[in-house]
Amino acid sequence: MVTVVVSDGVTFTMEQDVAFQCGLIADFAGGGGDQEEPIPIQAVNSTVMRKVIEYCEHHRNDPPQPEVPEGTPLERKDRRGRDAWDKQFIQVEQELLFEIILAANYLNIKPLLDLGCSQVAEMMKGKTPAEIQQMFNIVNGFTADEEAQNGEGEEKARNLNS
Amino acid sequence: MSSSHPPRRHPALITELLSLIFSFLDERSAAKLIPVSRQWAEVAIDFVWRDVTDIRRLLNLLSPLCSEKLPAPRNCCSYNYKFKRNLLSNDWRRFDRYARHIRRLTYDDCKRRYIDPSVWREIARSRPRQDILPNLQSLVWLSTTAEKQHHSLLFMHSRVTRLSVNIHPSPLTFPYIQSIIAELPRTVELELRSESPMRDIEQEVLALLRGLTSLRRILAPMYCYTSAVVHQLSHMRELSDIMFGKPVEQGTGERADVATFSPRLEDGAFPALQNFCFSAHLIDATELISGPFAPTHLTSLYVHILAVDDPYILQRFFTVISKRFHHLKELHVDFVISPDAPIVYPAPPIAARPTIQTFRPLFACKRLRLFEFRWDYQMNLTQPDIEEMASSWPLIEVLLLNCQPIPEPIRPGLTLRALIPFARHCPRLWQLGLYLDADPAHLSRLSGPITPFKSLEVLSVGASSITAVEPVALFLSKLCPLSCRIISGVRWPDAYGIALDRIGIYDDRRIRLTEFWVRWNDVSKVLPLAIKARMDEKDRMAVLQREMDAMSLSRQKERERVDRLESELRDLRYRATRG
Repeated sequence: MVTVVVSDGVTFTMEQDVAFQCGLIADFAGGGGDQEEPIPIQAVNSTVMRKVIEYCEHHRNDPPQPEVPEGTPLERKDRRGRDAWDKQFIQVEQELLFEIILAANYLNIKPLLDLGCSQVAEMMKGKTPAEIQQMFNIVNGFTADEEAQNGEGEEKARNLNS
Repeated sequence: MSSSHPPRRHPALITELLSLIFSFLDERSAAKLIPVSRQWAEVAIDFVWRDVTDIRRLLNLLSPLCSEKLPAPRNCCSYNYKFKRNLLSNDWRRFDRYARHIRRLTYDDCKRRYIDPSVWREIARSRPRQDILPNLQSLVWLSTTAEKQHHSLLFMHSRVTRLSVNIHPSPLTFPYIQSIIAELPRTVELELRSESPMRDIEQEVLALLRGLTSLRRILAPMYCYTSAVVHQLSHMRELSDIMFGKPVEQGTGERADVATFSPRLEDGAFPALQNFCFSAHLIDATELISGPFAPTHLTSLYVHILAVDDPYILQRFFTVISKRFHHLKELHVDFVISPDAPIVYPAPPIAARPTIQTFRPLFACKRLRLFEFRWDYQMNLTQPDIEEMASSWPLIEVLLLNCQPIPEPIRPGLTLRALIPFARHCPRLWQLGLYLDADPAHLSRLSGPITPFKSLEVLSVGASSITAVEPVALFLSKLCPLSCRIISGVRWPDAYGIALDRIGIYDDRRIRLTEFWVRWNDVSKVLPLAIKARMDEKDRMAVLQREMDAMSLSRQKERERVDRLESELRDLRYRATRG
């Protein structure tokens, strides 16, 4: 069993195969046996941690992601797509989605990070730049000249694509 | 609840995460996001312009293009593109913002979208500096003529290290090659393509190889590695990979160019070679790798063999491999059934084909992770042979054993049982290909539990025979993990079909091949369902077992209590009688 304590002081205990899907925890526990001290995870709160654990529990029996050393000619592609469960799981409020992505990044859970980012990409499709600025609370900071160029560049990128 | 936390950075504001998010978009959606912010523009422009596969996009960035339809021979339309106006210095200033993001540029005029020579002249005339794509690393330039091949020089500078070019037999090719050597002295990866046989361009290719001394990796058509080319490559200090390009796209040359293959190797040949691909007769290949200066540090060897030889020649080849290459991880011995390959017909008797004895020397290669073997007809292997093979290669990850041979009136010698030893002995096996007779009758005498495959992802059954879908799917559901796919059919159906025509196989064997293919497809459709059902069954069994255990435990406790009560009762009785 592995125990962690998150930013708002809540502790979670989970089985090793669930916990070790988080690269950070696996590194921390060093692959050894049961961890006595709870592992502090300051960057994640309990709401988000609950979601993360839900994800890891669902995927505990997945075949391990093949580690492909660089330059290997064996053709292996990452086949873990978004199944129905994943799609359902990631349908959350935007704020929570961002928190999950940050947690997956911090805890080093690559498939969850990919899932979260693909969901953000999904949400961005069909939105105007202004809508995106609002969605992410971004001030663009372009000069008028750059603004004009952007429009052109965008136009040119789209041209001739057919 | 999340609102009670202090505001944090959006993932979209961390550049690495933003790049990851963009990787799930298509180029068009990404281009629309350039105006969001300065940071987003950097990531989006980089994403959209990093790899330019259509050169018209790049040219259009400089100045609008217009196209004219060319008079077309044989119904195929082709277009010629020109600039609408001359380039101004302002065009180049705007171009620069995008140009510095371009790392890879592809020009391929086989798609009949031609760029008018005036475009290149205009760029050469007006460009403000030599390296118009300053961060370009990889240049792919595939023209249909030697003249057009020259235009690629506009984009070359010393930071380009990966190059793909078409080599044409033409007086213009020599000067072109001299320019490449001058402009790209640090090329590490070279991909050669050609429509012509090697004998027409060999001198040009040799000159190019002499000039590119930093080469680490070369890709070329199948029959391009002639004796002279391999000899030249053997001098390269840093060369680690000699690879085949994809045959269809690259042209394959002519097998006559490698029909005699005896590269002269000297002391210190191939100091860094790890991956080696070439085409040759088995005898020539054996000669090459057994010579005193043959490379010894190979981790991967791919020999495309020109003709099938006697099994003892194959065995000698394997023996040299096992003695010579102690680090070998991958071995491909590939006889491709194609129209230009000599095929023995009628087939030799089973007794004269490769047996386990032929392969046995390879069992000494304990590091072998991948073994791919293609031959003309099915081999002479039995179930005990398969047992021996599986137990000899516990670390094997990919094993493809001649799964699409030429069909014969006799059935495949191996049955579905041949899968069982691999599942038991090879926990890392993720791709397995065998030529089987999937008749369920062979399974009737199976007894005892079967060890399922631990990591199998692809089962290649090739041209294996199959009569009934359901029993096969049920059997496979005991062996295969849920994610396992079944692949059937032959690699190049057209080439394979023409080859069968040539040797005169027109009978119902052809029709049966299609029937098998349909049935295997059906198996692959029902297999996941069968595996799932079996897993659910197993879960239910586990729950039942736990309940049973709990019951027997409580029953045992009950019995202990009864025993205790009985002994107390005996005690009381005893005391009562004494009292």
